[in-house]
Amino acid sequence: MTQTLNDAINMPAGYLDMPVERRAAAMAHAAMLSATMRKLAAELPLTADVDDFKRVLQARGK
Amino acid sequence: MSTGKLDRLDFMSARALGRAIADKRISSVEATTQAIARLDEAHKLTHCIIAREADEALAAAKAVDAALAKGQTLGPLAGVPLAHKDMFDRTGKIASWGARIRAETPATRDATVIARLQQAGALQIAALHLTEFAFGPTGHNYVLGHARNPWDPQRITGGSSAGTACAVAYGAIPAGLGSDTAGSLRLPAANCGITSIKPTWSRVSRAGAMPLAACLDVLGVISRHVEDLALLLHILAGPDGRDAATADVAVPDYLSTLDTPVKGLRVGLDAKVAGEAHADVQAMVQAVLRVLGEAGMVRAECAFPDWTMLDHSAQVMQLPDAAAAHAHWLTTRPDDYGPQVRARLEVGHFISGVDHMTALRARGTLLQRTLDTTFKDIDVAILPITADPLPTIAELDVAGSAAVQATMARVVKFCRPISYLGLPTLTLPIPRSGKQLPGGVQIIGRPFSEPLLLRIGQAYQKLVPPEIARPL
Repeated sequence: MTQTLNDAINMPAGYLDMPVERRAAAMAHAAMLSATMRKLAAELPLTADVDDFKRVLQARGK
Repeated sequence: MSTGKLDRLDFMSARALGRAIADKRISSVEATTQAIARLDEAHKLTHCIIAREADEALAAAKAVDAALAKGQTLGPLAGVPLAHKDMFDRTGKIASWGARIRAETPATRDATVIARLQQAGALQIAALHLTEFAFGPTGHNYVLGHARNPWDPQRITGGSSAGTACAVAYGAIPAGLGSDTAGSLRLPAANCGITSIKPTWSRVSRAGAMPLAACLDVLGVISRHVEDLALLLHILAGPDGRDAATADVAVPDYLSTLDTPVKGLRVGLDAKVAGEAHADVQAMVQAVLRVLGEAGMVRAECAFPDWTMLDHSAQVMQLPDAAAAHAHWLTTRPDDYGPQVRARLEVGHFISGVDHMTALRARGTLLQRTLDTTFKDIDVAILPITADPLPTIAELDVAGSAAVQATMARVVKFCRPISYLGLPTLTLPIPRSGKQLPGGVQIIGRPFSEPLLLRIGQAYQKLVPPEIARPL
């Protein structure tokens, strides 16, 4: 299915050539994951950092 | 010359075969010739080969035999025929990646894992099947054709390292390489009734391997014998300047501790998480626990952090990572993707940068929590690998339909959260009786606890010896 320019501007990832049903399913899946991420964010300290993982991992290897 | 036990090369480990070749009890040419013939048989049954490389392998085998005849001392895998998932750079070749879209020019350098195996003397007789772009847990490949289980060709192999598992289980090769982003070393090993090691994230260099989601990707080994997992991991592991993520952690001699007793070690089961598996799969876990008990291990309880949170965090990391890697092709050549991979890659474009960062920022916190609580009173944990008994290829043939996300989520339910935590896992095949279908469970350790996992696997295989797949 080819999107019109307006469609592409007005929808997330409008540059992807997707049928409406698959786009809706992808958005629903992302929304479900996002709800979990909001819960997770609420319990994270402000100082949580992407490098924490490597630090914890390697500390156990030393 | 081959006599006695060497008449059944299909049952031999790579370690034993390497010794037999070094001792000139069998030539590499003979071993390689037999391996190629068995791999051809395996391919007819399972569709496991992508590129057959018999001539090159036999030429290399002749060179090994000639070097040995001159009295040269070679590596521990000298002349041993192996074969690997077709996702690694090899000089002068273009890997298929299991896909229609491929690199435009041949590789100018070997992947680090390939180079290290070559340095140990190993041969490669073929490049093997994988799910398209290693993005699929069932062995379905809508571009190159589906892989079929060597025990029952109507059933799935698991993926994405499907071809390696088929060839090892059939007895064509003793071991081979695979990768694991969300279960791709564990699912095919379990479904084909063999073993695998998914090392700690950062233990093995990914340089020159096709990435799926670098934040989760791990390279590892599939084999029938745990001693081969130990031997190959020792060859593969360790820092590599070509992969900045590789850990600066010393590589132990995994073979030297392999036979250390496991008596008294505590194995923890999270009954709530495991209880989400089909009853038959829960019975598999209990069967393995009984064997570990016979080996002297002690059962315990444990509790992982919120399993759904771990699983969703893994997805929020993986999907945008994979989508970003494929962003150019997905917008310029979307029709060159199979329907399932295309549909799954698209989802990554709908996940926000904020959510992606949350999953990345939380990873260290959740790993620390797991180590402080889940592993507080246990040495290792045990969980299912598959959620359901071995399905047929038709049952999971959902392509890119609306059912794809939920179906795939069920398949990787017990694997993806462990990938998020970066923990090492060992696949143990279940003790089978009669015509029971194969299955497997995962033993999960703390970071860099591969020596312990391999010890447990070795003790297990003394009670449940490796099997060769024969159609049921």
